[in-house]
Amino acid sequence: MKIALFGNPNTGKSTVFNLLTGLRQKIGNFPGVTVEQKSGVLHIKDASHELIDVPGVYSIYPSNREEKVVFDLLFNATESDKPQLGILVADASNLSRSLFFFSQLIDSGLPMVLVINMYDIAKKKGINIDVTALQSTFSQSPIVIMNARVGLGKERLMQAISEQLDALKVESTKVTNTLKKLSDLAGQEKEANARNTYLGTILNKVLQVKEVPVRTHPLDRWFTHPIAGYVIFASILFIIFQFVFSFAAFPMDAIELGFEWLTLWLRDILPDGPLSALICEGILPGISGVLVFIPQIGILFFFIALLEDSGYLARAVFLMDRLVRPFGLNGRSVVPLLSSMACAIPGVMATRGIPNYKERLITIFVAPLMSCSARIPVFTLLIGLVIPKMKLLGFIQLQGLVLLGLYLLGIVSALFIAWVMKLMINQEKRSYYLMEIPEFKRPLWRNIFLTVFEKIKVFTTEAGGIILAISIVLWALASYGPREQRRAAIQALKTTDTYMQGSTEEQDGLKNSVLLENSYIGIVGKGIEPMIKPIGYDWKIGIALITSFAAREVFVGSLSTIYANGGSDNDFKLSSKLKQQKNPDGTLVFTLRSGISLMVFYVYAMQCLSTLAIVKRETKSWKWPLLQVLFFGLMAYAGAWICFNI
Amino acid sequence: MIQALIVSMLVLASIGFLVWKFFFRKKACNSCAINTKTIPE
Repeated sequence: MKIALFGNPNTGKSTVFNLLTGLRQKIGNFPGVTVEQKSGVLHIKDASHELIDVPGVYSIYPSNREEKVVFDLLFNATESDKPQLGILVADASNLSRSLFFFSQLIDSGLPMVLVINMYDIAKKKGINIDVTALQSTFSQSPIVIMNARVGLGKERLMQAISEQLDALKVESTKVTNTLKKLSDLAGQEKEANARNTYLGTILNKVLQVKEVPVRTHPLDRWFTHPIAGYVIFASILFIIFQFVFSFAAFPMDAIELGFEWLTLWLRDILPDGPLSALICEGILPGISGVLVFIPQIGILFFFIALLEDSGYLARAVFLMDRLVRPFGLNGRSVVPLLSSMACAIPGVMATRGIPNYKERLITIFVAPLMSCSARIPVFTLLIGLVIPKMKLLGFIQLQGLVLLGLYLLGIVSALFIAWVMKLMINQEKRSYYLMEIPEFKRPLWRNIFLTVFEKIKVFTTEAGGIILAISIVLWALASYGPREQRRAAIQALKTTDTYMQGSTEEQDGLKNSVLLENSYIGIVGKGIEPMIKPIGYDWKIGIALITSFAAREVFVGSLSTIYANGGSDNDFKLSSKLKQQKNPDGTLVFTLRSGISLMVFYVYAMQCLSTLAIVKRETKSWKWPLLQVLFFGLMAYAGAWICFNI
Repeated sequence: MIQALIVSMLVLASIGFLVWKFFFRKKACNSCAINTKTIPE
């Protein structure tokens, strides 16, 4: 059977979903996190049921996109897609709002189970719910008290679902039977008034609220302060980026050392031949070049999850709302833009919550400028390569500061472009964002470590799979080439003075380098070199840039594979290999200028094919994704040129 | 000879995997595994 999980935003719906299915759905401490309609399997007795996590909404009036999802699921879905049972997760502190939605759901004819979640917090606020009285009012829908964060009440909920699945009892409040047709505002208002009157009498009976003085958390005075709030937010970001570099150094070295040992060991035991070369020069460098960034990604997501779980991120959203308004962005744009820092795709999807089309369009357009997690390996590799490991004022790591700067460059550019678009697109009305600031909570370490684990798992399996495949293909293209051309190039090399005067090791290095230049990949790379030379890149970087259209982190794996093919065999560490790379004129390939030029290129370039596909789908036109490719491509090239040449 | 055969098969399998990834799962983000096919239209 199909069971749908409903609820207002931020009532712990995703926590209940994870608890019931064992899945690790992303849990946010602010609304708008569930953009994907996720489903999982719920096992009760010996039967399996499909549990669908529906986006959090306040009613079933189809007035915004998220509500439309719920409305369509109830009234327009085919019989096979329609749920047979619904579970509504209510926040015990806001029972009236949840009951509004709950009563609409039972009037839609769906058998329901009501979960009253976070009762512990409600009690602290002096709220007492007479569950027996509430149960006698909604006699056909089992009611369960839960504290889903700590797993309390799971067994009771499973029991209630099981009973309701056996009976599938429906009831009705008799407030209205026209829910299906309520598409006009006047009708919705009338229905809402009648429903609130009906619920008012029930709530009078079941709710006892003791006057507990409502106090703002002392920390909130600082966290949401118009000046101190921003200083604290910037300081937190600054500290996180500092940690990304300082804490990750040891595990990163350990991973590199491990791969070095593995490569040497495999070289020893495998017989010489193409397979050994593929593994040692193609697969292992490609994979190690990316896996080495796991510690940094883990640390970054650990802190983000910590901020989110504790409730701080919701305060950051509140602060950002004030900051982005002058730039033509709706406060509702903040959640999509923050989501885009993990990945632009859920960010673009989350813009569905923005009712004003033009504001939504601006948010979609600038979302890819927020630095997504796929850029982390690229940034950290380049920073490690060209930014000296030094401390400013004795405690500020320059490398961490540059990483923060790259994120800020993306944010500032997004705000600037939004502002320009605001001037160009005439907006007749502005919408406002109302959000509920959640209580500060003690972070649940399980949640935090699951988020980090999940992020790392996805990074290694999804991006890792592509990197592995591309490494293999690149290795083949770099190891083979037109036979005659390669033979002639080697003959020509052998007549040069540098070759004849070099040591055996230097001669091997020169030979490998010439062979690489005359391989298939070398021929393609040389073809595109004139285009990227003005911004400071050689053909090898050009190839890595092209392959990173698959996923940005492929850049690192590609560089690793390409450089493993040319040059000497004794240096395994990618960064030290890259540091030694020289142009034909003897100058270094990776200098401060070319490194910064590359970083700026990656801040702007619209390299994510998946994001383009989603923008096309959301705007229903190729115009906007094409504009993004052209405009951001131009910005990337111009920015990179300026950094390299000025 | 056997090594060359294994390498050719691995290269072909990688090309096949990439083709599948881009032409048949092209709407999923390759970096974070979000499969947009599960998002309602």
